Amino acid sequence: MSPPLDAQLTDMRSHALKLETEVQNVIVGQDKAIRLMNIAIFARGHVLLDGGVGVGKTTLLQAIARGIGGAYERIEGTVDLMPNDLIYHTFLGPDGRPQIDEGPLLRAGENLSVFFFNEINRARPQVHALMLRVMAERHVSAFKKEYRMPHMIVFADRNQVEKNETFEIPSAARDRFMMEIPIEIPTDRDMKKSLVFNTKFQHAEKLTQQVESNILKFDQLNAFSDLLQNHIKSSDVLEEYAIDLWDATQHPEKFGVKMESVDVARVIQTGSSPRGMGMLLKAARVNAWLNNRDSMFPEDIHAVFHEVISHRLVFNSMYENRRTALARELTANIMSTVAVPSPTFSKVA
Amino acid sequence: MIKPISKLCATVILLAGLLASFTLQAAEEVNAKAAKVVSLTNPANTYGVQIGDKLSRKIVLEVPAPFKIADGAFPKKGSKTNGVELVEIEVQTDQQKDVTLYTVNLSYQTFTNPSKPSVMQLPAEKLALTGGAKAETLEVPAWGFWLSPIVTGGIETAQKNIQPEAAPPLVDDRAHKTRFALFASLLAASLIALLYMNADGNWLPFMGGAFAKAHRQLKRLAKSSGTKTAAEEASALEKRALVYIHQAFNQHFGANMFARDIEPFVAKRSSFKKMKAEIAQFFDESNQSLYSIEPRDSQKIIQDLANLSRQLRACERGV
Repeated sequence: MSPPLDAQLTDMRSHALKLETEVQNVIVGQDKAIRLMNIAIFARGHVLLDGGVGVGKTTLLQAIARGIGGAYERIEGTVDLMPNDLIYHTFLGPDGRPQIDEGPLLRAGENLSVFFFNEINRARPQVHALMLRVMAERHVSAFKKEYRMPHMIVFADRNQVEKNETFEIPSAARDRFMMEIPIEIPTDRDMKKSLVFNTKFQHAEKLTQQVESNILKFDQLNAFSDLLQNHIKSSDVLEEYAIDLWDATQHPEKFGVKMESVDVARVIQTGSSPRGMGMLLKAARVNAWLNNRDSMFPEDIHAVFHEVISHRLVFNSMYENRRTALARELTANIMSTVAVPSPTFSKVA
Repeated sequence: MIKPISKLCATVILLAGLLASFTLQAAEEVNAKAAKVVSLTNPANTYGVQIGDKLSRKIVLEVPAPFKIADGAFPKKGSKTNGVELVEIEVQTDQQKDVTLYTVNLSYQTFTNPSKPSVMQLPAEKLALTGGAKAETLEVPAWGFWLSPIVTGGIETAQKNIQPEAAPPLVDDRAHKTRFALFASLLAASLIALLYMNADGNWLPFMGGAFAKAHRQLKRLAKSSGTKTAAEEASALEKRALVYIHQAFNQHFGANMFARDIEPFVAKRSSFKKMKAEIAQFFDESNQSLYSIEPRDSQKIIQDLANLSRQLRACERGV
């Protein structure tokens, strides 16, 4: 007999907040990113980390993977990486004969909880295609059998600074990621000083070992996520607001959204997809739960809006090279312009 | 020899005393029977009298019985004496035990036009007393006064001296006018200030702010919510009421405003700083009403919002 719903929600929330605290103790200046990754874990969404070199993306992921429990696998994106490198690898055995073994994607089987694809944009589109299929279906056929990875969450990162020998992830592929989380260098001067002068931050492995392992039970997260999603309610006002936000990602000019340096009507080619909006609300529900609420507020949507929506927006090609800055501006302006409760709602009411 | 002289002296003294006593008694009898003027009241001034002026005198007479003054003995109305005409006479009689009191009011008018000041008089009157053994009279003395001409030297002089009629000098009321204008301005300013602070309408500039508009809408809504009882309708009205306030906040903030924006909002609009706690409470309540599934007392919420909007309107108007 399972414990009462409220007890489950409370118990799991305390674990989720503990995971955050543990990771915050070893990764400084990334509280927002940690909260967003926590949300993605409970919303069962894949995450694309976006940041420069050496900002701590890998350490962050390792710390979180330790807290989630289960198996952790990683692969490096390179220009010569092929899809089969994820499935298997060949080597000469002790007897001198060629042998074949399961690749990082299959090795842990159903125990795989975190798969980290480092520098995904260095891999070729064929690799992207395989990876994205696995992300969507969470199973793959190999060696004449089907490998299931029901608890897997993919964390990928990409380095947008370097453009040589990289392959931009197409919009359809980006849409599979629930969030694109920017990992930025902390702005606080004391934090910067601590990062540079405190020697504990120079040993990433030791650092991640300080995080308590298996805070969450990775194989229970899917079921709990379903429970959580069904529990958190949304009012008609909030539903109207979500639809307005969706429309605003497609036709921002209709809502009076303005951008400083560009004509907003010419920027957007395609707004958010239905899958994107579904993921937005899944993430928002988790945020409401983490804030100990049973209903979603607009603040819950705002907490994840940029990270869930910005990488799904398809800009006209002339604006693509300024995507990061324009997407940030556009999502911020949509949130500050689209009214909630909507004036049209009051007329209907 | 001494004895006869003493008797003679005593006799003389006695006779002299008797004589003196008799003489004194006779004199008292005469005085008791004499009529007299008890009081005579003449006009106050003997000068400044001009043609046509009326002069009055009041005479009180005491006539011992059996004497009386016959009606015909009084001077006749209309009688003229040296330019002075008796225009009114009134006699009042008060019959007492031994005497009769007559109160005579005489009113004279001057009918002469001298070219220079001249002495005139209200005439003396001689009133006959009848009814006694012999005829008696009672005299009222004349009263002199100066009659002044209207103009000196005749009409020719007056024509020479005639001057255009000039307006009388006016009292200097500039100070009063200034004070009046000042207080009237203060009154007008106070009325305008009261109007500005409390009026719901949009009659003056700066009265049509976002919260003023919201307050008007909420007042109407509060009235209509009182008549509707269906929970669904009340809930719809409650949401509409919240929309009005949110719209006003958005308008002032220049963007969609949420609870996290309260600090920047009061920094931008410092007149709302004193309402910071109430604004935070509003956003909390609004979240509960708009996004929570729990049922709430819509009518009370609308009334509370109407009150809040009035306070916010005061902040908006800077009062």
